[in-house]
Amino acid sequence: MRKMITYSLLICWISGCKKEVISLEQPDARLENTLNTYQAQLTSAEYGWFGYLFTPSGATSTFLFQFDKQGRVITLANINENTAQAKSTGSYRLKATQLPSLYFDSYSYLHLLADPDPDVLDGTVGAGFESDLEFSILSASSNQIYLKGNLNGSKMILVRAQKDERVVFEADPLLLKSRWEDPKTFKYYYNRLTLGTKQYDIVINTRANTINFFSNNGGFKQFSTSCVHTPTGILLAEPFIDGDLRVEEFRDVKINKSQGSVSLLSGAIRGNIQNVATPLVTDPNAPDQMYHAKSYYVSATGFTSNGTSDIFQVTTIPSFYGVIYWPSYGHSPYSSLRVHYLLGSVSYGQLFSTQIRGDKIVFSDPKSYIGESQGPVFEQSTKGLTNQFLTPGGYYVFQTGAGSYDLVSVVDAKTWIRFQ
Amino acid sequence: MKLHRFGGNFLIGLLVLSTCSSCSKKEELPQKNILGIGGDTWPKDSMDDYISQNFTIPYNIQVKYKWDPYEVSFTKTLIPVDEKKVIPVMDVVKKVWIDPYEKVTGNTGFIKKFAPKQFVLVGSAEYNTDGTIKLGQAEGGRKILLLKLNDFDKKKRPEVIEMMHTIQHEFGHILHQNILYPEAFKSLNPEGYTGTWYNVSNEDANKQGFVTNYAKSTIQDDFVETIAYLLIEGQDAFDAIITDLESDITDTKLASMKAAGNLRQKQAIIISYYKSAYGIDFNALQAEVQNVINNL
Repeated sequence: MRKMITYSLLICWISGCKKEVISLEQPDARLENTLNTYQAQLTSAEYGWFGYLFTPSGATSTFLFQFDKQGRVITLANINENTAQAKSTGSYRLKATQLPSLYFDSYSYLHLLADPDPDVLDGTVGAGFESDLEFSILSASSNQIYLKGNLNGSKMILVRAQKDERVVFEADPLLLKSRWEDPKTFKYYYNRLTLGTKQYDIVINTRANTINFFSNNGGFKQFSTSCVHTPTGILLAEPFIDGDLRVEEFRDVKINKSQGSVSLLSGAIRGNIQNVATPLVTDPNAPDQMYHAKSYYVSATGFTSNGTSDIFQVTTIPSFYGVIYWPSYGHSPYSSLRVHYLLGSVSYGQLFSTQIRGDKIVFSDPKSYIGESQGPVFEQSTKGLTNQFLTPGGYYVFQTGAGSYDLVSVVDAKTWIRFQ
Repeated sequence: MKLHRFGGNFLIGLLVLSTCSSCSKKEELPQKNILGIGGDTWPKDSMDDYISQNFTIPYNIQVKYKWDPYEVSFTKTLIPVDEKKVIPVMDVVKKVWIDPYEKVTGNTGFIKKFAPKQFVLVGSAEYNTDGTIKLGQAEGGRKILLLKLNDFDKKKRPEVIEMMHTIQHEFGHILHQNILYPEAFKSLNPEGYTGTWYNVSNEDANKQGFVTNYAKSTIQDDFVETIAYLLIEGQDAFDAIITDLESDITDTKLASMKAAGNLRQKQAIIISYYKSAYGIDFNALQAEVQNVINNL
C-alpha cells in the first residue's frame, strides 16, 4: 500500500512537471492563420488536387481541381462526357464556420451531384445525389486533406496530384472507369483476383460506382462498397477486410488487354486479376432477392456478348430509354422484358414466366409480343434481345449494388446483361 | 489575539498585492477584426464591377451571387448560381423591373426608397415536400431571393416571364407591406383562399376569380399575383382569361361571370391603389413593362 502511494505520488509529480504550451494569440488571429495555411496549401499544388467524392446516395466521382490565389478553381471530372472534356471555372473560399470549411461557392462540375433538379443528372427530385458544396476540413497533411460535407455528410479526400497522374487523368477522365468494363479486354464475365493466397471474383460496376468481392469461404460471401477511379487504380469507400487481408486501394494498375489480365498493388501485396470462364462461387440467394426486391430493373446497355457490348444494338433505337425487366408485370403471373424509348413512355417486348432454380434464374414460356416497335429493324433488335433473355440454361445472378443485378448466362460466361 | 493579528496582516498584504498587480495590468484590445465581419471579400472582377455600377452605387442594392448558406433555407438542397447567368439575369431585372418604374415616376426616388436592398441569387429551385417548387421569396421588404436561375435564358420568353413574375410578385409584397391594399380587396372572394392552392389548376383558379392558382394562397398573394400578372403576362393575357370566362355557356356560367367580374374589380382596385398610395399610373407602367419584355 505504501509503495502504491509512493508510486502514485511519483507519477503525479512527473506528469505535473509537463508544461502545456497555451497559445496566447487571439482566436481570430489563429483562425485567420489557419485559413491562410489551408489556402496556401491548396494553391501550392503545382499540378492541382484530385478530389475523390463519396456521397451518401452511393454516387461517387473523381475531380481534378486547380485552386488559385484569386479564389478561382478550375475543375475537370469523370461524371460524363461534358465534364470530362472541357474544364469548368468557378470560385471557392475558405470560411471560418464551426470547423474551417472549404466552400465551392459558384456553380461548377462539383455541383452537378448536389443539384436537386432531376433533369441535370437524373438524381432524386429535391435532393440530387445528396452531395455537398460546403466541406469541413477534418484533417490535413501536406499531400492529403480529408473533408466532410456540411449538409449531407459526403466524404471527399483531396490528394495532391503528381505530374504524370494529371497527364493520365486529363488525357481521358472517363477511361479510368470504362477500362474496367472493356468487353474486348474482359471477354468473360468472371475476373479472378489473387492476393497472396486468397482468391476472389471481383465485379466493378461503373454505373452503380461499386466494387464487389465474391468468395467461397465456407459458403458464398460477398463484400460491396462504393469506389472511385484514380489515375493509378481504384480507391474503396470502406476497406475490404478478410482475416489478415485489408484492401483499401488498388494502385499501379496495369491492364494487359490481349491477355485479359491485370497487375496491381494492394498495400504491399502485388496481386493480379485473370479473366476466366467459370465462377469461383455463385450466389444461391440473389435470384430470389432480385425477383422480389424491386418492381422493375433498367439496363442501359442490353446484352454484352463475345467481346461486344450491346450485341443486339438496342441502344441505337431512336429515343432509346432502356431495357426494362418487370419480374411481375402488372401484378400478373408473367414477367416482361421490353425496350423502352421516348423517355420510357413507349415500349416493345415480350411476356414470359420467371423461374427461380437455386442459384439460377430462368426465363421461359414465351408469350406474345406487346407494345409498339420503332419499325422492322428495331423489331428485329428487340427480338434478338428477348430470344437471348429466354435462353433455356438461364442465368447466374450477382448483386452489384443496392438495386443492381448482373445476369450471366449459365452456359456461356461471355454473355451477360447488367441491370444497374 | 496572536491569530487575529496574523490574520489582519495577511489580509492587508493580500490587498496591497492585488492592488499592485491590478495597477500593473495593461489590457490590450485585439488589433484584428473578428474574422469575416462585414462579409466575405474576394478579388473583384468585371461581374462585380457590373453589379456595383448598376445596382450598388445607384440604388444601394447588394447582389449576392456567391454561395452563402445563411441566406437560404439550410434544410433544403440548393446549389449556387452559374456565374454565366448573373449578368443576363440582373440585366433583365433592371430593364423589366427598375427602368419602367423610373420612367413612369420620372425619377430614381421610388426604387431607391422601396426596392429591397439585397438580391440573393440561387441556381436551383427550392423543392417543397408537398411537390411544389419555390421560385422566389421576399423577406421583410429587405431581401429578394431568386431561385432556379441556372435555367435562365432571356431568349426564352416563358423563363423571363416566370422570373420577372416572381420579382414583381415579391416587390408587390413590399409595396403592400408599406401601404396596405384597400379593404375592398379582402371581401371580393374570401371563400377561395386555401393552403392547398396547389391542388387547383390555373384554369380552375381562373373560374373562381383568381389569375393563378397561387393567388388562392392568401389575400396578400392574390393581390400581388394580380399585380405581377397584369405587369408581366400583360393586359392581353389578363383579358383572355376574362373573355374565356364570359364565353362560358355551360352550367357554370353564373360562377364564371362572377369570376370575370371579380377579376375586373381586382384590376380596378390595383390601378386605384397605385395612384392613391404611390402616385403611379399603373396603366402606363404596365405598357412600359410590356414594351421592354417584347423587345428584350
